[in-house]
Amino acid sequence: MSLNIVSDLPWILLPLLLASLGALYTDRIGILNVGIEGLISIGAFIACIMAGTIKNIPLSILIATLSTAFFALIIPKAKQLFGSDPFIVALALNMLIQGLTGSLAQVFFNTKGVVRFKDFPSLIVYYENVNKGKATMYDFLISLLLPFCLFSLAIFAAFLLEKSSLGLRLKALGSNKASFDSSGLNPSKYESIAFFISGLLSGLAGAALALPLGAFVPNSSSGRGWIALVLVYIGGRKSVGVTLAALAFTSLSLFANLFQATQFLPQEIVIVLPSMIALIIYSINRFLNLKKS
Amino acid sequence: MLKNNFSKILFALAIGLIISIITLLVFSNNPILAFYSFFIDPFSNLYFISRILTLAIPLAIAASGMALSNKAGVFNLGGEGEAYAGAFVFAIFVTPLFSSLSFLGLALAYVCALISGALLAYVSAFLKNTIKADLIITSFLLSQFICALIDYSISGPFTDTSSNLIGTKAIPVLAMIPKIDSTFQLSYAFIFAIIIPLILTMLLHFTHFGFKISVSGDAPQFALFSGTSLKKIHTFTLCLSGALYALGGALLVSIGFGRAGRGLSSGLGWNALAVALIAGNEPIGALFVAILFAFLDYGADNAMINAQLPQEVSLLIKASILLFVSAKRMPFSFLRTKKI
Repeated sequence: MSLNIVSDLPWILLPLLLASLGALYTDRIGILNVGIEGLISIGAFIACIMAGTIKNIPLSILIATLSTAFFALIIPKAKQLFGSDPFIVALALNMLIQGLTGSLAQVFFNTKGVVRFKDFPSLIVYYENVNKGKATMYDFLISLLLPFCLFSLAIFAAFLLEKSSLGLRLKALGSNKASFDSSGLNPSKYESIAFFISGLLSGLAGAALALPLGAFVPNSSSGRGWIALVLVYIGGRKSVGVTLAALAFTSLSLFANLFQATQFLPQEIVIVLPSMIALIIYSINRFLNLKKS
Repeated sequence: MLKNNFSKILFALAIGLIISIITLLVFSNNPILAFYSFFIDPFSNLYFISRILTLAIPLAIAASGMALSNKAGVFNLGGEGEAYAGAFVFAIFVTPLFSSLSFLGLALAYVCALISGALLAYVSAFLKNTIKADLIITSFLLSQFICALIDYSISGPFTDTSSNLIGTKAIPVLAMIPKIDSTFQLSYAFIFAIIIPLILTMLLHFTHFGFKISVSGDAPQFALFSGTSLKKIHTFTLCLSGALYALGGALLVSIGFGRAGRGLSSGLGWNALAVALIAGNEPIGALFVAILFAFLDYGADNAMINAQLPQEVSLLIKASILLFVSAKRMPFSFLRTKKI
């Protein structure tokens, strides 16, 4: 597998960056969103189905993102209406999404595995066109503008969280719910907003994961949702830190991928190297933090 | 309290039933056949019932351990890895140990499996106690790595080259746990699935130590101030749940497959967690919920074969039950308070 840094790197970094920013949003209000893993998965699924049926990448990303955000809303709504523990609801949501994507794939596409479409507007095609020098304007737009747009969205999300009044309110909600409530703001509303944005970002992450592949692969998220949670801690629970952590982590994983080419490590191990790297960095990070305090 | 829990579970089951009927209507071409194969066929003869009960054994054992650690307020998300490790270690150790030491060797092989699971859980507990690492994160990531490592071992160095299946060498037939008889094929291992939850329930509700476990989960600050070592309680319950996951994994080998195949315990980790949560973290309740889950799996399999219903439907139903069991307030009372 040859790795084209210019065209591939954004698509390796983006899902992780978007997902970890999504995790940061709920972390800000003091809730660990364990459902990110499932949300990425449903985002990828919807993005694929949409891209395969309406053949329009920007529109399918939009639909996937919005619908993932509504899935994410289940968590705060269950908490507010039924007093459920968000952790348990998120676990149930992960199961629900796995069952839903599996069942839908089986019924509509008659497959237990990868969902493929005949003339899927795969991003790879656009890159090839650009490389061959016979790209149309649309090819250029999709291949260059799309990653750029997604990065801009990530930066915008980070900016919103750190510098806007909304971000400040989320922070206030996370640090003291009672005083937040008594200052006349509605905690439930802001809880829902945090999860909604978290869902939007996870949906984008899913789309960014699935569209370059050109197919829906079950379990394609392969632990990215959990790694996103780790990156939140490693990045010191701040947007800049999380972005840097995602960047550093992606570079490390790419480095680890080189092992695959040299056949130094078996395939099975290479796939989980990112998780292992995340665990080690996380442990070192915790150790250093503890020493500091 | 118990009555309240019970009505909650009944409500969630009713919702589960409604959702399953909806999914049958949506996902099946022949809903009546699907309904029959899902809900009625599995109870039509003793063989099917014994199959369901056998399926429930590893789940009930793993979930009862999980219930105890949940009670102590620690969530072990490493179940997948621990169960897989238990299955793998048992399958590797049982053949040499059984041939040299007979039934003592068999017991030793189970002990090795238990230790492997407990050790894996101990790593997370150690990281939690020393560097305050989040248990949810460390246990999950570690489990992912262990699963990959065992996947590699099973299809690489430890694979049985004489068989077409990807798995370790078959264990001796005598080391398998026998079934009651040929029509009622329930494995004798079901005794474990009754005894272990019973012991854990007694430990939890009738001993001083069990009381400490409950207090550590419900009011950690109070437990700390009254002189309970939270670290010890957390480490013990985590290791116990790890060990019981591993026992569940080992039993998958010794009551069913006869070898550790690739991915044989996949799903046990998450299912057991869901079972424990639905059972309100009561070990004995976990036995009944495990039987319900086993029935859902069996029904879905049956409906898949007879009526082409997607197998994942069982996941959908389980998830919706979990979703509704997690409700602390009943939706009806919520509606009522709103009216006033």
